[in-house]
Amino acid sequence: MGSIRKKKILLVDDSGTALMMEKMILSREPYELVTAADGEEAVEKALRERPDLILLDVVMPKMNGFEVCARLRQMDETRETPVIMVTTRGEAENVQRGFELGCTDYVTKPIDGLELVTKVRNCLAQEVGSKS
Amino acid sequence: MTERDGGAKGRDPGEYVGRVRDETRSYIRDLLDENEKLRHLGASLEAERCRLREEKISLQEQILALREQLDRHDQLRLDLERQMLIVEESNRQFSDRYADVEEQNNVLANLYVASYRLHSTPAREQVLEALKEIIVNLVGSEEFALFERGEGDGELRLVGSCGLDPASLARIGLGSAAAVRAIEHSEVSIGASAGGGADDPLVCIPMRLEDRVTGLIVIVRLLPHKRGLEPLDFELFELLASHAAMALYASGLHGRVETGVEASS
Repeated sequence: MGSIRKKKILLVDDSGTALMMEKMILSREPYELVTAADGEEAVEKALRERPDLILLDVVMPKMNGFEVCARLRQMDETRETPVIMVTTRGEAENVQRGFELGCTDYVTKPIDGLELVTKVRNCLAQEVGSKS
Repeated sequence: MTERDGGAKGRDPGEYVGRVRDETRSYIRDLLDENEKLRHLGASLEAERCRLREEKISLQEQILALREQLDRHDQLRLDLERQMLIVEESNRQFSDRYADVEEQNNVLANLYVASYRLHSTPAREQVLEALKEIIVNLVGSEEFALFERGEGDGELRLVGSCGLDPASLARIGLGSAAAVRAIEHSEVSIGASAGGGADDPLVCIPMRLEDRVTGLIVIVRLLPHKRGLEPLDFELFELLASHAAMALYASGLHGRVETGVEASS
């Protein structure tokens, strides 16, 4: 009998502090965590690692979170992958832009552990629901 | 003699009496038959009455049994409802406890990450960068400035900032009550107007090294979506107050050692 595959989450943030915080929060859950430190690396790892969910910071060098999200939605391999945007700006237009580009949900910094875990669980549950 | 007399006289009296007697006997037989039928009917009705009475008793017993069963079920329902309330209460307590534990985990995770990041590098620039990242990502502010005392004159010098233009930096309120309190009393100090601007910052955090204040973190404003300071923020401020100065001091020593090594070689 094959073992149940852990859900893989790609964490994208140029801040080592934010990445470490996200890892601390999500490592208590049964997830496999992969990280990327900028937008280009995020796209490359999204294609290579095929994560079940991407936690994507908005403000990043090279390619910001919105551009990454748009790029992911253009590619067949990542078109359906849920994306949770991580933003320091929770204003309506910022969030609206994220949703227009195809993000699934968003969380604001500073990240609340319980909120993040809940949203990640919900997104992964929806993904399972849509695939079944 | 009349004709009628002549007629009656013409009949045989014995025959008449015999006929009346036969009719009477027949009538009596019919009455007896009818009586017998009625007796049977009476007996069957009595039997039916008895049966119905027994049935009634049986039904009453059944009703009684059902009532008892109903009472037992009602009692059971009440017990289950009571148990459900207890379970719900217990569930709520577990849920609250889980939320508390999660919150505590969150606080510890924040403090661990902040502490780890501050002390993870000996390079001064990286320590300053880690300090900024902590304020942005863990405290939730993109408008702040970092000051450090100069070695010679002891004056506070700007060593880093985020989200503040030069005009704001020039106005930054080192003379504000919060800043003065933070420096003089070596304690985290909250501004009077909850982040009124650069000249009246939200919070001032002294960077403490033993009993000296070696610098000041001035947070002007929180991110717009953050409603206010939370208990976690004060924990972070205390951690920054005691660890930031040490991290900067250690990085300064490391820099001097590096410079010395380079010079001697």
